[in-house]
Amino acid sequence: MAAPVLNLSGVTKYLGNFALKDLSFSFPAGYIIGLIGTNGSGKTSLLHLLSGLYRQDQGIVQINGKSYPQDEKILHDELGFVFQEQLFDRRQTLSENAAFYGKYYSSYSQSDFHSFCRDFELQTDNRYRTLSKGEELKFQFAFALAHHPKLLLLDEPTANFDPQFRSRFLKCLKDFISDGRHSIVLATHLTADLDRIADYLLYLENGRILLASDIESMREQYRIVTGESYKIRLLPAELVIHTEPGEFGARAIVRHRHWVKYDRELAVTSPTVEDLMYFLTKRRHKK
Amino acid sequence: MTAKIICDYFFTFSREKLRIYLKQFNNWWGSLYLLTIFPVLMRLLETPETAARYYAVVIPLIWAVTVPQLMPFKLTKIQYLCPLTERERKTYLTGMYCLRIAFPTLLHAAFRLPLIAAGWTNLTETCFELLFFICFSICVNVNPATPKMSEKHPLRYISVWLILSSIYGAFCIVGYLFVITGCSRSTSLLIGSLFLAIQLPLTIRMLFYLKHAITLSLRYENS
Repeated sequence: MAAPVLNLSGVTKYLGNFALKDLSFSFPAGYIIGLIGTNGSGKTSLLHLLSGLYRQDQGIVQINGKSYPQDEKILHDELGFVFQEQLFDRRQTLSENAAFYGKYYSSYSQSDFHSFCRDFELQTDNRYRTLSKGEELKFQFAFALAHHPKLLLLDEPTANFDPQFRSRFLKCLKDFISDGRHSIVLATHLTADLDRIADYLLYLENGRILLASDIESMREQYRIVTGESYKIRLLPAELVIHTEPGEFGARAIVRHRHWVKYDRELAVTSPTVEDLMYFLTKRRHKK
Repeated sequence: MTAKIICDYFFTFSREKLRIYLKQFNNWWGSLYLLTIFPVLMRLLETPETAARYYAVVIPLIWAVTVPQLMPFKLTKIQYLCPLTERERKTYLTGMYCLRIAFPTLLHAAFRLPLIAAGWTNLTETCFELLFFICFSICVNVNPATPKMSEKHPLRYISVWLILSSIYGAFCIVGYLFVITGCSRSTSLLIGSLFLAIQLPLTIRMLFYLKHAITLSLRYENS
C-alpha cells in the first residue's frame, strides 16, 4: 500500500454547538477520496481542518506525513483548493489575482494558469467580481492546478458546473491522479460523480465517521435487494441492515455473504454510493 | 507585501462598498452634520481662520473613521490558505494597521501646514493636536481589529471613551471649548494637556492590546 496522503488519528474539533468527533482514517496517495454526508454533517469543517484553517483540539492530522503548524508553509504549498466562498480579490482581474497569489507558491506557473483558463473558457482579463458562481469555481480550479499541488481539496464544486464542463472536470480529476502521486478529496452531494471517479469513500454524519473504506470493497460488502416483502423477510435477519417498504414490495440493503442464497425472484444489485448513503442514513435515524 | 498593503488601503473606496456605507443612516448623516450643520451652529464659519482650523481637523477625522468601516481589519481567507508564514501574515496586518494610523495623521499634518504658514496656528498647538489625532486613529481601529476570541475584552469599551476624549481634547487645544464657553486660550491648552496626560498612557496600553489582537488574528478560526 502506498504511503498515506491523509492520516487522521483520534481527531476532535469543537466548533460551538457542533463537533467533529474522534475521526480516525488513513487513505493512500494517488486516489480520489469522496467525502459525503448530509447538510451540516461536517464535510466543510473537515476540509477546513485539512487545509489548516482549523486546528484540531485533540488527535493527530498528517498530510503526506507532515502536520500543522510546524509544516504549515510546506503543506499549503502542496495543497490546492476549490471552496464555495469568494476567495480572491474582487477588484482585480483573474490574471492579476492569479499572479499575485501565485507568487507565494514554489511551483506556480502563470503560463499554465492561462492554459487552464483557455481550456475552461475563462477570460483572464475579466474582473473577479463579474464571474458567475460556476466561473468562479472554474477559476479557483485553474489556479489550484497551476501551482501543481499534491493534494486537491474540493468543496462541492460540481453542483455549479454545467453538464458539459462537469464531464471535463471529472476527466481533469482522473488525469490529475493518473501518476499515482497526486490525490483528491472531493466533497459532494452528487453521488453519481463519485460512482464514476471515486476510489475511497468517507461518509460523515453529525461530525462522526459512518463509513470510511474503498468503494469496491463497500460494493462487495453490501447488496441492494428488491422484491416481495415476505421474500426479503426470509433472508437471515442479522444480514438485513434496513428494509424500506414500497408500493409493490420492498427494497433492502443487506450485508453480502458468499454463502447467502437469494431467492431467484429477488433483484440483487451492487449498491451505488447514493444507495449506501440513503440506506445507512435511514438506518441510523431509525436507531 | 508593501504594495499590497498600500493598494488594499487606497482602493478600499469602491462604489459598491461606499453605497452600502452611505445607506447606513448614522454614517451618512453623522459626516454631513460634522461638515455642514455643526460648524454653522458653533459659528465656526464666521472667519476663514476658524473655518480652516475646523476643517483641518474634521476632514482627516471623517477619513479615519470611514476606512475601518469600509474595510474590516483582518486577513482574507485566501491569505490563510496561501503558503505564507505567520511572520508574513503579521507583517501584512501590522503594516495595514500602521497605514491606517499614519495616513490620516499625515493628512491632518498636511492640512495644518497652510494654517501654520498663515500664522493661524503655531507648532505647539499642531503637535498637541497631532498627538490627539494619533490617539484617535489608534482607538478608532480597535473594534474592527478585534478578533472573535477577545470580543468581550474591557479595552474595547475604553476605546469608545478614548475616541470621544480625543475629539474633546483636540477641540480644547484648537480653542473651540464649546462646553466651557468663554474659556481663555491658555486654560484651553491646560485642559487639553490634562486630557493628553490621561490619554497617552491608555493609548499605549491599547497598542499592547492591539499587538495581542494581531497575534490572535494570525489564526483563521480566531479572526
